[in-house]
Amino acid sequence: MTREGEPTRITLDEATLLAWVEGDLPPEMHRRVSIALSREPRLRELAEGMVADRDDFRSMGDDTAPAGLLADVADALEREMLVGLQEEGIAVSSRPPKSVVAGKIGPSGGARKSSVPLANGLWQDRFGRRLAMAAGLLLVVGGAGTLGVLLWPDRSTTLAPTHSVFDGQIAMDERGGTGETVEAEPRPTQSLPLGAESDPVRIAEAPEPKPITETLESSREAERPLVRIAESPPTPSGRPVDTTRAAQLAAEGRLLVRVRSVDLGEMLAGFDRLGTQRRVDVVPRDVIAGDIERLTVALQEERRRMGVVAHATDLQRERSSDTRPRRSQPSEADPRVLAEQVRVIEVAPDGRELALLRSRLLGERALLVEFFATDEPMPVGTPPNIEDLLWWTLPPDRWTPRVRVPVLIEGSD
Amino acid sequence: MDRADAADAADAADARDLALVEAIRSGDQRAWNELLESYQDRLYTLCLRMVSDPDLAADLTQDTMVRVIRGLDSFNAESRLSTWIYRIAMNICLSRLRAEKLRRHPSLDEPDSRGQARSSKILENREPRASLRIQQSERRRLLGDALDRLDPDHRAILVLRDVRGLEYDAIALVLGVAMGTVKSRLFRARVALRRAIQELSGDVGSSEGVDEQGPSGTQDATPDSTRRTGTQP
Repeated sequence: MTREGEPTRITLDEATLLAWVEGDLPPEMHRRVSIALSREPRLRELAEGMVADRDDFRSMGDDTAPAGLLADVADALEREMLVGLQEEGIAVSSRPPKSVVAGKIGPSGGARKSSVPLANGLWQDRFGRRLAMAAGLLLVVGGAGTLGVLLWPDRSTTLAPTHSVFDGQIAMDERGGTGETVEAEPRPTQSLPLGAESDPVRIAEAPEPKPITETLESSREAERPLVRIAESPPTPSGRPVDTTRAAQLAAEGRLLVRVRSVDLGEMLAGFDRLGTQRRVDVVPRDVIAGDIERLTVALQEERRRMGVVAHATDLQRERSSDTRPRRSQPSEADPRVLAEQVRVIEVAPDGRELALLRSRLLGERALLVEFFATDEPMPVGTPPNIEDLLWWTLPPDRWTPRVRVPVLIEGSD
Repeated sequence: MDRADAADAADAADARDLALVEAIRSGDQRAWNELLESYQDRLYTLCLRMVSDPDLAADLTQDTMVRVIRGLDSFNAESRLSTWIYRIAMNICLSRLRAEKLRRHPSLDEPDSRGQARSSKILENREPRASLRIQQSERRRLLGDALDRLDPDHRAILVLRDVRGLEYDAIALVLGVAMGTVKSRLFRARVALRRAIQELSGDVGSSEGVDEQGPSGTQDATPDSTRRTGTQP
């Protein structure tokens, strides 16, 4: 301790001045530094200004976070987790979250917070925004529908249904030109008959073309290749089922969707677009990699039952990382090519959703979309229980249980 | 609140945070609500002071919370939870500032006189209490503008120290620098802030000549001493 009147050397250096500003000095030392500063008006002004700045900052307090910030966090987290799940090859299903904190805007316009279950708060918080989105969606639907009616009088264009597309592909080329492809059996009578000779799309030739029972796109015959679709033949389990029955089958895991298209590549691109309509969408095909073989066998069996001779499959190639639609190499001896791929979608087992799915696929230029029953549940697995991962995101009523359904896509390559 | 009280309050808050973390890890989903809610204003304020843009601050706060949620398992309680969270937030803010070069560089020769003129005109027509509020508001605006002119590292240390009230050791952890660096950087940040304020207010004065080297001088500090000495005894 320095005695009164005893000279003490005070170094007004950076550390001392900072300690004085921060109040870190013992009282006596603080006093001595203050005295020293009194002889240095410039330094004293600086130091006192620093103290004032510090006090002003500290007196500001915290700003109130925007209302709904935590709801946005939930959204962002959900998106990130979905991306993560996709990267990890985990399918995302629809499971109810449980709760989160949501913010609200008070009547005075100032933000206030409240801790409420997500099912209430988040929904209320987002209601206006979602309402606007729904209105916009309706406008788009209306516009698209009107356009669809004008362009395709016999079809309707709808928005994407509640489904997601798995990029699990199994190409089954009837005639493969590569050494890896097994030669397929001849196409049976219900195969897509050829249209006009000028039709650039080459579809498997039917030995005995059946009577045309359905003609699509009559209004666009002049613009597009004439493609006539034979009615699906009776199968042991009957004809294609309607969407109500299809929903029941989907819930039982016994639904198979068959899509016919003129252009397989275009149709697959359409599937990809379906997969971008919702946040929970495309999942790496690795998800069903373990089921591909069994699924292939099951599909071959189903196709026999549907009256279509099974095609050769090339599992090895399908397990490669190339997810692009395969292009068959036509054989010189037999140039006929029919390409098929199988994908797996997740869809709500609901007739309306399936109807929307069909409409959407038709909007993607599918020629025919049919639902078939299978004898046994298809080996496509089930969506994993995601409840533990996304428990705080969305209210339960916004999640719909989904099932996986294989989709057989036919068309020319 | 003195320093001891502040430390006690920090310890209590830390204990509560750790309890919430334990609850979360044991499966109590409601604990997430409490934890996130307790931090949202603090994080938002930190981000807002760093970027001076409410929308961007909200985005950065959101990013911070997402990372906190996803990374809570990696929190090992070697520091306070708040320190860990602030570190995440500060890293996000600094990354953003550096990546997008969000620092604004208005001419240092042109003090923002428009705001001053506007507020002065308002002040003339207001009652004293309203004038005081406007002065406070103007002071806040001035501080914000000055902060915005600082280098991100200086801004960060001022925000952590003055806005969030962190101690030197916590700041060192958040910024990943040594304690001595924290002190020297803090002093320089304060000098820079002073200078920015003076430039903005058109009052260039005391901080001029006090640069990052800081003041240097040794004085006899006896009460009656007026004799200035050099650095040598």
